[in-house]
This record gives sequence, structure tokens and C-alpha cells, in this order.
Amino acid sequence: MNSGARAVEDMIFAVGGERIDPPTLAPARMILDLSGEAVRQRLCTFPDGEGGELCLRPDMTVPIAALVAQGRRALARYVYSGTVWRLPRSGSGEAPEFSQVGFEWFAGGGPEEDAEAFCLAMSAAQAGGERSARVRIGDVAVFSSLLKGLSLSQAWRAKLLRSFARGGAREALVPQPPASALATALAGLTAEQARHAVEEIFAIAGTASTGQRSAADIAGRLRERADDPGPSAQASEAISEYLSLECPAHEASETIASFARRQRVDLGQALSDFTLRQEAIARRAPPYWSTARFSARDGWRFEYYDGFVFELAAPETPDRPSVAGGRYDGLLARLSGQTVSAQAIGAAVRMDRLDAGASS
Amino acid sequence: MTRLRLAIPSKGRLKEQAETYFSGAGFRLEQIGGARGYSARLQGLPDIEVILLSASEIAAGLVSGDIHIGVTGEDLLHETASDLDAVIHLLAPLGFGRARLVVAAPRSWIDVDTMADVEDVAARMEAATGRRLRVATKYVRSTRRFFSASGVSSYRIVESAGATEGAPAAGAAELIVDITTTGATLEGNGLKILKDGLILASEAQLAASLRAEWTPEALLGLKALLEGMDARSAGRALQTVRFSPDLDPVALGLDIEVVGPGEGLCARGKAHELARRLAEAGGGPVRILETEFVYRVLNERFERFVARRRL
Repeated sequence: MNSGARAVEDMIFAVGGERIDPPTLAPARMILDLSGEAVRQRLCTFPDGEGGELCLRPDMTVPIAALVAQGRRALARYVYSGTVWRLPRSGSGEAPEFSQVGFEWFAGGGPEEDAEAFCLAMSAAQAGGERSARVRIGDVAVFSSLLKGLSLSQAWRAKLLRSFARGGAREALVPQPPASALATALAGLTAEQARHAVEEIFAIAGTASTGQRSAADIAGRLRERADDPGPSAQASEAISEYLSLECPAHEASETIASFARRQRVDLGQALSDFTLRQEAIARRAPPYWSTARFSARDGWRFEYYDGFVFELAAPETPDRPSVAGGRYDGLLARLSGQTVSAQAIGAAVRMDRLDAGASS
Repeated sequence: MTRLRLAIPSKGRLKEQAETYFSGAGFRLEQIGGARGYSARLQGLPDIEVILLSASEIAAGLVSGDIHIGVTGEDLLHETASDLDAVIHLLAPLGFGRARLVVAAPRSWIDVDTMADVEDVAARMEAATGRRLRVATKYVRSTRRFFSASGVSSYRIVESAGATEGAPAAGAAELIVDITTTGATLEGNGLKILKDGLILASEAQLAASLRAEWTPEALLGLKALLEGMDARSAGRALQTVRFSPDLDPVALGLDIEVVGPGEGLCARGKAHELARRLAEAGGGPVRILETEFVYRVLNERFERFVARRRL
């Protein structure tokens, strides 16, 4: 281990919590269910000999969260240092195997903890020798609050949040085609009548329902769509405007607040938490903060982030962060089938990229 | 591997069509060791090593650089290479082996027409059952690329070995991604193609590997093959007219490319009209001859490939 890596470890291990070393192998299904099939191209997978598939852990967050979700480790603060495996993009010249040092904190929460986690990750990067880094922060919770504040159907809120995580919220805003005549007709019936009508259509067409979707499901979705015109022009405009917000990090609270006033939308606690977090970070004066930028745009690295998010990258390779972290309050519930629920935040320092940034 | 190594499909319709294509270009395929042999020669091109492989092995061989050029489907090339343009140069579309790679859903899903519908249904299915929508396919990479570009991530791939179109009826998957030519097989299995579900319109290609080791000898072999192919297609498009060497067809304003005294080339459909006018102008007897091959100084396809390799 080189001196940079040791310095990062020292910094994080000194304050981060109990050392944890999750299993190297994880069921591929668990990772793919959380991150989507698109991640598969990056996974090192192999058959488990029983018809399933295993993978080498592509990060530490999910394997550690899984141990906690399964009740095998307590809700506490953990630190780690270990190897993870991700197949690099072709032509990137990166190695498929690299080490990560980081922390995952469970059962805390709140803007003070956000600031603490952020500042620890930044100090660790600095200790590791990162010089000319650019930091980008964002907040998924502000976007979800915005969707709640606009009058949107539940279905559209869920759809826009999903596309936000994948970086395509703006694309998802295309105007809906008008509901079909059939959907409109079904919307005028009771659920039961609509199901019968769809079954009759199947009978006439000589087809049958297949693929885990019953006639009732199909009728239900058609009825729902007939009643849901999608986001209004005003709501679409507000969402587009929000996604284009970009400013120095220390101006972000005011930028978001003035957006909310302009669009007359209440961002509730998400905005007050954001402001408190900004103040807490400023008080701690972490490295790189003076040049950090806030960006409301979508597409953070993992789908499970649901609050404050941050990244640090060399200016010439903004898509290869050496530090990435964020809040994932919903992950434990998802992993445990809703039996364990706790707020959580974590960050990882990717040593190979830190080295690349430090040596250039 | 110093000589040009050319791979041709070893069986099926693609093999027949490739054979017909090359013999049409004047290079008849002779299999060494009879019809079951896996090496061959092209008559007229003795310096090219011809091997017979399955179409997917050809795609893999081109991507790895084990063969210089080969005949295979674009669909297989896209499936084999993650960044096709970086490793493969398409020399010539061959006009056969046409097929479309498409996303198809059960016909009973009357509420699903587009990939946006698939995204929505997949998310609902996952929320309701905890299980992801399953997509059966042999085209794993192409499916991932297309679904990701369409913003669909809540799904999983069920790799299919055989008849993919049967997977939804068998309960093994909800959707399929597969090759179709007429759509009849899909229809017969109760499936419909999504409106924006066309992943690729594919045809057989003569493709060159940018990763292969291109010796001067291999380049000469490629040049000879491409020149031959182009000479033959030019030959098909043209006919030769012979007339009195005292006559200048250009002075008469006739659309003839003069190649020497009393001889010229013209477009196939125009030969008779031009011959009549030459005869009327005193250039008779005018003879129309079949032209099999027309070679020109520069072969554009070859030059494009050479330029591409320099990048």
C-alpha cells in the first residue's frame, strides 16, 4: 500500500467507526436488482454451480448494507478498506480491480451528519494527495420534494424519480399521446366491468393473458392512463427549470430558494435541510469547498441514493470520480423486505483514481 | 497470418448466398476436401486463404483480429463488439441476409405499444411482485444497449439458447428480443413488435477487422478481392460498343466513355440506342459486346479502408 492510500485509511479509520470486511462474493441478483441490468456490463460474474450467478463485489456499500439488513451486523458506523471489481469501459485503460477506502454510517441522519460525512470524505481525499479536484454536490431529496409540491399523479412522480436516477428525467417529460379510445371507454366502467371487457377483447382476438399480467392489470393500467393526462405544461416547465440549476455550491441554498419562490412551489423540509447542511459544511470549511459546484441535474451514480450526494473528480476526467458518496435512507428497507429501516450515508475513495489525479 | 484470411459462413442459407455472391463476382468457391471441408479457395484469387466458420465465429474472429475479413450479419457484429466502429470496418453491404432485431411483447398487452410503456409496466411489476420483468434473448449486449438507451432498467435478461419466440408462452419471460424477417413467427407465437422496438435493421456485410495484423501481403489480397468485386459490378452495369475508329462519339455528343480508337463503354440500358446513332453517323457496323469486368486505377473501397486504418 502506498503512502497516499495509508493516509486515506488513517484519516477515515480515526473517526469513521468499526472496521468491517464484507464478503468478496455477492449474489449477482442482489446487485442487479438494486442497480439495474445496465450495471451488468461492469460486473465480474460467474455461475454459482446451482443455476444462479455470483459476482465479485462492485462496491462496498451494498454488501455492507446487506449484512446490516440481514441483522448480521448492528446498526452502527463502519469503515472499510478493500478490493472491489468493476469491468472498465473499453478504451478507458483502467484496471478491473482496484481498492476502495470508505465508510458507511447507519441509524444517524440529518443535515449535521451529511456535513460530517462530506467533510470526512473531502479531508481523506486531500490526505491522499488529490490536488486539482472539482467537487459536485446535489440532492435527490430536493427533486422528490419538487415532484411532491407539483400536482402530479403518483404514477408520474414515480416515473420521473426513476428517470432522474438514470439521468433521463428531462427526456421523460415528453407530452403524453392522448389516451386511446379504448382506455377512455374503460375509464367509464367499473374495475370489474373493465376486466370483463378486456377478457372479451382477448377472446375475440384469440389471445390469452400471458407474462404475469392479468386482464385486470391491463384494464387497470388503461383506466389509470385515461384519467392521467401527465404533467401540466406548468409542472413540466418547473421541472425543466429545476434540472438546469447549476451554481457555486455556497450559493446553492439561495439559488434553490429563489427557484421555489419563482415557481411558487413549496420544497418543505428538503429545502430547510439543504440550507442547514450548507451552513454546517461552511462551518467546517472542508477542502475543495470554495470551488465546489451544485448541480440539480439528474443522473447520480447509483439508483439507491435518495438524499444528499457528492462527487470529487479531476477536472479533465469529470466522469471518473475518485470520491463518491451520498445518503441512501431507503436501501436497508429495500434489502430487508421492509423489516429493517434506518437512515444511512456513506462515501468511498477510489484509490487508483486518486493516484492518477495526484500524479498528474 | 501473412496472407489475407477470409472467412465465409460454413452452412445454411448465408453460405449459399455468400457463395453465389462471390461466384457472381467471378470468384467461384472451391471447398478443399469436398463439401464438408472447412477450408476453401476462391478461383482466380490464389493468394487468399479462405476458411469456413459459423456466422457467429466469424463475428468473434473479426473482433479478436484472428481473421482479416469475413462475411457475417451486422446483428452478430453488434452483439460481439461493444464498440463496433473501433474494431470493425464495414467494406460492403452484400444485399442478402436481411433481418430486423426487434423487441416484441405479448399481443395481449393491449396497453403496451412503446418502450416507455415497457418502462412503466416493468416498474409496476417490480413494485407489485418484487420480481423484474424478464426479457428472453440471444442478443444480450444489443438488448442491454437498447434498453439502457430507452431508459428501461427494471428488467432482467433470460439468456435463450433455442426458440426465443416461445419464451413468453412458456412462462419463461415476458418480452423477447429476436431477429425477424417477416414477423410471421412472432405473430404465430402471440407476439407483437413494439412501435419503437426496432433495435437494428441488419444485412450480411463483408467486414474487415481493424485488429488483425495487416501485412503488405494481406492488403494486396484485399485489394485484389475488392477490385475484382467492383470490376465485376462495373462490368454488369456497362456494355462495350465497337465502331469505326474514324468516328469520335464525343464530338457527336454521345454518352460513351471512349477507351480507345473505335471502342467505348456505355450504360447497359443505353447500348442499343447509342449503337443506332453511331451507325447512322457512319460508324457502322457497330457491335455491342458483353463486358465482364471493368478495372479502374483506384479502388475507392480499398482506399477508404486504408485511410481508416491510418486513423
